[in-house]
Amino acid sequence: MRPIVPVLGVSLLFTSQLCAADATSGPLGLMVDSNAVGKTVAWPRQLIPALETNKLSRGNTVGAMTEIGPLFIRNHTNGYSYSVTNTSPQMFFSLTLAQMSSNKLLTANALNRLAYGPTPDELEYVYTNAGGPQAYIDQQLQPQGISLPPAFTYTVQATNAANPIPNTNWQTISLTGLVSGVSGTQSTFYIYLTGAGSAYVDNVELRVIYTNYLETNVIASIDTNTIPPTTNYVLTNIAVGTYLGENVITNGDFELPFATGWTRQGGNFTGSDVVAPPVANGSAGALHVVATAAGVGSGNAIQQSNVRPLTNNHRAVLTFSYLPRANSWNSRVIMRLSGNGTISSDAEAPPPPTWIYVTAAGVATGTPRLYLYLDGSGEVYIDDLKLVRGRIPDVGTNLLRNGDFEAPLSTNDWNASQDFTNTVISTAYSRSGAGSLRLIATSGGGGNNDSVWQDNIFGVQNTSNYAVSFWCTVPTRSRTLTVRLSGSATPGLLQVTAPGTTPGDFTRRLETIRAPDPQSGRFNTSTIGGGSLADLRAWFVQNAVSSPRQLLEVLSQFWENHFVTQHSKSVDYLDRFYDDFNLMDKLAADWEYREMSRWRAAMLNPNCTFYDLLKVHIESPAEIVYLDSVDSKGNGNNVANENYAREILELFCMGVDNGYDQLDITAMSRAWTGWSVELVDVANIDNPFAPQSRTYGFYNGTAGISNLVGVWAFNFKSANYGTNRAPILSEWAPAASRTNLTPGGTVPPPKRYAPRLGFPWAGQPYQITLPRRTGNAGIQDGYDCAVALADNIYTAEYISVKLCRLFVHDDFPNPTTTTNLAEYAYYDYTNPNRTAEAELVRQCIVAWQTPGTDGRRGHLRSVLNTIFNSELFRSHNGSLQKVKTPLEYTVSAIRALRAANADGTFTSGTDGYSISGRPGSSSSRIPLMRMGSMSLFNRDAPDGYPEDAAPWVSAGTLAERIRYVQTYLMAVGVSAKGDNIDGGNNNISDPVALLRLKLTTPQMNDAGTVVEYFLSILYPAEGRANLDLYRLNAVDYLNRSDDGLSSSPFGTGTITPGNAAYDTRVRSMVGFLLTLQRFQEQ
Amino acid sequence: MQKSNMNIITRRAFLSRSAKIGMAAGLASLVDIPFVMKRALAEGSIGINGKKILFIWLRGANDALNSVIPAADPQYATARPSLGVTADPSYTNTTGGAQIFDAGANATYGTEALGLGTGFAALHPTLKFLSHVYNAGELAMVHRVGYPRQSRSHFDSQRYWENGNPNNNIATDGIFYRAIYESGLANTAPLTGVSIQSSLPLILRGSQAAMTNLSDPTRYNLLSIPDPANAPKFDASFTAANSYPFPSKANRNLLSLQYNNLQQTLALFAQMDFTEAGNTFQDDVKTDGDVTWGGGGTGGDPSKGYFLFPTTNVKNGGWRRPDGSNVFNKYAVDPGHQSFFNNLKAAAIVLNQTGAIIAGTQLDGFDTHVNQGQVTGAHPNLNRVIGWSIYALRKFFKIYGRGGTNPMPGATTSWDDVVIVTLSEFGRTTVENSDAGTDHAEAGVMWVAGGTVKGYGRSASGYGVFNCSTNEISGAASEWRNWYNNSGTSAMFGVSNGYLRRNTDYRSVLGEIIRKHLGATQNQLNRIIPAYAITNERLLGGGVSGTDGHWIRGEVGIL
Repeated sequence: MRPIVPVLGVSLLFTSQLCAADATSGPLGLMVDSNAVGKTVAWPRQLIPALETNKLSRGNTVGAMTEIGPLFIRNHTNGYSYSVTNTSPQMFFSLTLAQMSSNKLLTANALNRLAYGPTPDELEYVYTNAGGPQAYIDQQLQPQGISLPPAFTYTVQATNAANPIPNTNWQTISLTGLVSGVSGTQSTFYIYLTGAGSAYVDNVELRVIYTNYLETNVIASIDTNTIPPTTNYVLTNIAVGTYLGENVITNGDFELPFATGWTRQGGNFTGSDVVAPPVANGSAGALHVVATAAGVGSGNAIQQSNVRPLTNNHRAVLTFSYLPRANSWNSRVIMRLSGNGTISSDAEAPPPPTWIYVTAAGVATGTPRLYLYLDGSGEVYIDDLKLVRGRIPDVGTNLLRNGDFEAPLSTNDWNASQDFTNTVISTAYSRSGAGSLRLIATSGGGGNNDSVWQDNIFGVQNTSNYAVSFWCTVPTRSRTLTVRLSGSATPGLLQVTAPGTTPGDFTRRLETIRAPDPQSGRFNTSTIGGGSLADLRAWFVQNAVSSPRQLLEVLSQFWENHFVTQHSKSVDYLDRFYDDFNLMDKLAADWEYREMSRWRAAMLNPNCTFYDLLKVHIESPAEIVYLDSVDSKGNGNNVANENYAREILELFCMGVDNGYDQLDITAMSRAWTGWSVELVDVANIDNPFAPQSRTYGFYNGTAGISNLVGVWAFNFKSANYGTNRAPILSEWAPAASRTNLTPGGTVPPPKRYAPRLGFPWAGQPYQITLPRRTGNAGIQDGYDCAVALADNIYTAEYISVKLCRLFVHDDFPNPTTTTNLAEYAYYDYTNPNRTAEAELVRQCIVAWQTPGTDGRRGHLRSVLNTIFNSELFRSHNGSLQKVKTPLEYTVSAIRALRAANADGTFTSGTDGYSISGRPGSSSSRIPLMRMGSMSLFNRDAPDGYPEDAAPWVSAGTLAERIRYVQTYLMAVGVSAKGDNIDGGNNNISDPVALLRLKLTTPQMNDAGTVVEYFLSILYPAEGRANLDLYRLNAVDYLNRSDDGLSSSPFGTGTITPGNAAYDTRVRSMVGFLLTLQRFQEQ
Repeated sequence: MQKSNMNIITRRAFLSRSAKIGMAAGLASLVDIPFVMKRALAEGSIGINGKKILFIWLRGANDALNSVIPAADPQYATARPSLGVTADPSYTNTTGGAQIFDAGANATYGTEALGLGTGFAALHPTLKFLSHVYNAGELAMVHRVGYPRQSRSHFDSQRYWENGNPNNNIATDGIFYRAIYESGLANTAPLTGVSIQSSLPLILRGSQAAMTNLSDPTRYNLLSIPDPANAPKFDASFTAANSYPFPSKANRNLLSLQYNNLQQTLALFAQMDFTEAGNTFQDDVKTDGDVTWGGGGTGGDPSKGYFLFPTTNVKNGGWRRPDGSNVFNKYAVDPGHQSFFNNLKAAAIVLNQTGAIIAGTQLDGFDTHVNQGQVTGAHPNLNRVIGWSIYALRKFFKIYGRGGTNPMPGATTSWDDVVIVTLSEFGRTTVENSDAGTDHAEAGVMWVAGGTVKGYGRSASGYGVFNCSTNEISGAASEWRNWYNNSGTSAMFGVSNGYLRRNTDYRSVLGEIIRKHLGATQNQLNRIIPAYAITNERLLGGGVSGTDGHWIRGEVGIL
């Protein structure tokens, strides 16, 4: 008898909360086999996006169907089957295929695209938190409202740069101070040397500052012949409203004979005279000071009497240039007024010290004593020293007494022994409060009885975790500060050396990127501090891994890559002036860091517009050098360099062939003439008209700009500027087009938006007309262009397209106004049947063009919100359409296994420090380079790294991706762990620790549960049902011996939590899962 | 119709032959019948005819004037008081080929430029090994190669050389990629375009198919945890997992193809020996007449010549001779280029043992602004690398290639199948600078070598050097035909401040190779190098370039 087995219902059930899912319909074939033993129902695997479950129900009547538990459904390579021994003649089956819930999908999409992949904790939090994933998206769109942990507070400093200069170079000294010692109405001015020798002196000027002033002053002097020159100084208030009087020194430039203004007093200076200087200083004459013995001033010096009236306590500036001679090494130039009228100064106050934050965590083993010492003679300021329980620095009660150094040192808190007895509490500097510890060493210390130390620290116990943190200044050059607990000479104990270069403390390294060396005022090129490209990359990637402002991080990379600049081209440019590669590296990294900082700051503003970001770019020295505006001249007959005009139209704003042509490029090229860079005083960093710095460094080296101290900044050079002649974005006459660019020609009509844009834009003009300008006013040309371009519809379109590619999928072609190209029709917004992609772009343009509450257009959060609310972003079909870039791949692998332990550490023991190149690494060996030469901040083509998949995906780069994740999963000490030579050993994960956090012990012993957990965190956007074969494979992987040859059941015998074999088994299975194709996707 | 039929027959014959070769070679996975079938409708014979390109990118802009020297131009010596190389007086010999500088048992690099038999051009002495290739008629040296509106930026100019679109910064498909793409084999053959260097160069990059770059072929395997040394468990699971079906997404096909490619090529590369131990390739003659070299202490075969790929000191020419001496000047190359020769060796092996159509690598360091060196130093050392590389590659394929005297297992490629071509973004200033170096300028030189190249004795002029003679083609008066321009002044000053002006577009050189050697049809070439389709670009037959109004020569006839 043939049983009747009707297939009653086969349907797709879609659970949908936030948006409609993508329906897949059509008949499903349920194949039923029945025999005397029972019935077997089988159905093929259905390839449906985000398919979550195969629900099978059965019943003897249609009205009484019960669901069959998933464990009873067998999973085969080709499909599923279910067998039942029931031989009743009639049975009904119902199969329901369900996609993943929309909230779960949106959680995964948001974390895949708005973040550098999900972390296990975020997956749980975002999905279950009130508001669900939409709340997360809303929060990420307002990054200013997301608080950062303390590790992400970065201070801003100013850049200093100076290269060694030769002794043959003129140095200019400028002293500001008070006139004193004047008796009567006249003063005498002395120049002399402190010993036998000679020096050239020129351009002596003494000018009174007329001002109101409030200062108290201390006598200061300058010693010109030590390297560096030393000054004594004291901080004072700053005067306001000053102007300089005339030079009261006669013949101070020594262009006239000596007798004009000067006399020789005593016998020691008879050889002195006005001569031609041996090294050019821009003038014909200089004073050659020749001393046979030391001068003293009155009666024994070069002297100028009858210096015009000066008044005691008037503020004055003394400046002069001098050229020390090789045979005068121990005599120095003194210039002063008669009496005790030494010029006192407040101008040489050094910048306040850069405070560096240092932390470490470890296990205490010794007696509870904390040591601080230097490894040689020197000093360092320390403040806010904390020792807390646990591994999170700065969190919890400070176990130390007087760790803020606000109270005087006493034996109750701090002891100073042997080489450290000079140590004092300083009120000169403090990071907080009034005092800091000025730790002074006469020789190297070593802990017990030779350090500054605190005893009997309450509550410190052996084997417990502690974290130490403190702020310090850069120690005396080449000295290392050590802060450690007693007994920590053995491994694994709490010890921190600061400022060091070990991976653990890099998070703070960028704080010192622009810190001048307090010993010299020079940009710090020692290994202390830092600010190299490698430091910048480490900082950037570390943020990508751990910042809660994930969307800000993703967008930071997007804009950095959109507004591309190239570190090595900056170095090429700086190579004109400097010899020191380390210095050039840091200066170029500083340009990158400054633009990155400005973009971040702009994006934290809720009203951030595209113009705000574009403005950062046009003013960036890195861009000005990269796209050749730096030397572009439009004055006279010069033909301006077209590079930047071309790229701002083609790459940064409108998109290639999207509403402009070559003649517009030519027309705009003059707007960028004069946009250049210069080394200016730090105070002038934001002044594009500032003169070149005249602050000289103190070192030996080549002459020229390399001996100046200052900051390389955007600088407008009006001499290069050529005023614009014709309106940009014009409808150029075809035959005589170039003549339109000349003055007096017929003004060409404006270009108008293409018909495809539709209402209200089509046909509207978008010409840029610049008034004729001269001099510094010419800078406005560039800003006018940027403002107009940022508001151009084509710009809104092109940027929207790029953002859609970033957040939705790759297949948004570039828009174009070339009517015979397919893309023209693709973005025809008048077409009622336009694609969903084109419609999304149009909606983005509308959002862009809708003024915000501040009345401006181009609000990026509106555009992003449009994308994040779109069907394309949210639908089941929309997930996993993109392939991760190398940066996204590596960072997401770290984040995927990175859950917070109770003590604040993470189950992924890396912060990404090594993946893009740490200091000292070979650039070709770092993971991001091996995966296809993704050299952060150093893209060699102005189009930026590709967002689409094809350029990144080839066999060779995939092999390196796979090697990377496998290295990541290996236990420390395994021989192949160091595979990524400059990264592997810093690349540590602990998947078993993750399981301990998330599963119970019985669950950890169950292969299916373990696999299920990892599938859920590694492929959150893929439906469970679609992962069935991965699941089978991974469970099999867990249940096989490591050589794969024999069965070795997981969760039994030696393969249980807590033993090494279990750890190996889990690591290798997770490593296997991370190598699979689906983990390449986001 | 008839032509189409013939092609099909040809392809069938090829299939049959390929299958046999593949089986015989033990590298059966090289020959994937389905992909060959897939491309059966494509035009031309790229990838089907077994013809291949090996490229060497000379990055940083090679100083062409101290490579192939216009010795008879009096301005050369004037412009280069310290860098200029004196030519051997006999360079004016116009009857023979290149001079062979061979001091017998004491072969070293000399100090005088070597004549090429043209009475005008001479080789820098550090390029002396090129003389052997030149005299065989298998080397073409195309001088004055550039492109219109020359950029003097390294980045831009390299980009234009690679994307084949001068002044276009957007095109991100490379010329060689497009050539391979036209073959129809991209994405289907396991290996088509291969580079061995830090990253895939633009010339092999493209949006529709991914070529393979290996920064280090010895690293090209998967770690396969838990047991990196031997992990059948990982390998089996990985292979199985890559075959699982998933719903379609935008990039899943690409990922799947490339994962498959990875798995196929892993096996291929695993069968090739890229290790140092596998570097046993030796010259078949006592190199350069150095008859006393005996492989002493090198592990080499004392009956043979120098190692072709000097990847270690002991494999580098005169290192540790039998008498124990160690003569730097008898090294084949400066020891600083061992990693380059590792890459070059890998590229040669890949071409010789797989179906790859194009393979190559790059040589850095040509940006010689300072202390370039006259007959010793930075640039001469690079010259030595070039000269030895081309010499060694020729020997490699003649000895170890298909049909060679000692073919490698599974050798697919003969010397006649290969064209070696060098690229460099521009030439350098004619006038040396005050730092005894040279700066960025315009036209440079390309070397093209191969068994079928028409060089000395085989080209139309009978010379193996092009665009470097007083009057290369008799009776022709146009400026591009001569070293000297129409007004009788040297072309070295054709552009202000001592730039060598282009006489031939680099795209004409590459185009001739792609069409005549690889077997592209003209239509394919028009797609591979778009300017070929624009008549007034004059890439094919020469004439006034529509882009900048200069005379150019078009294809020079090297094949």
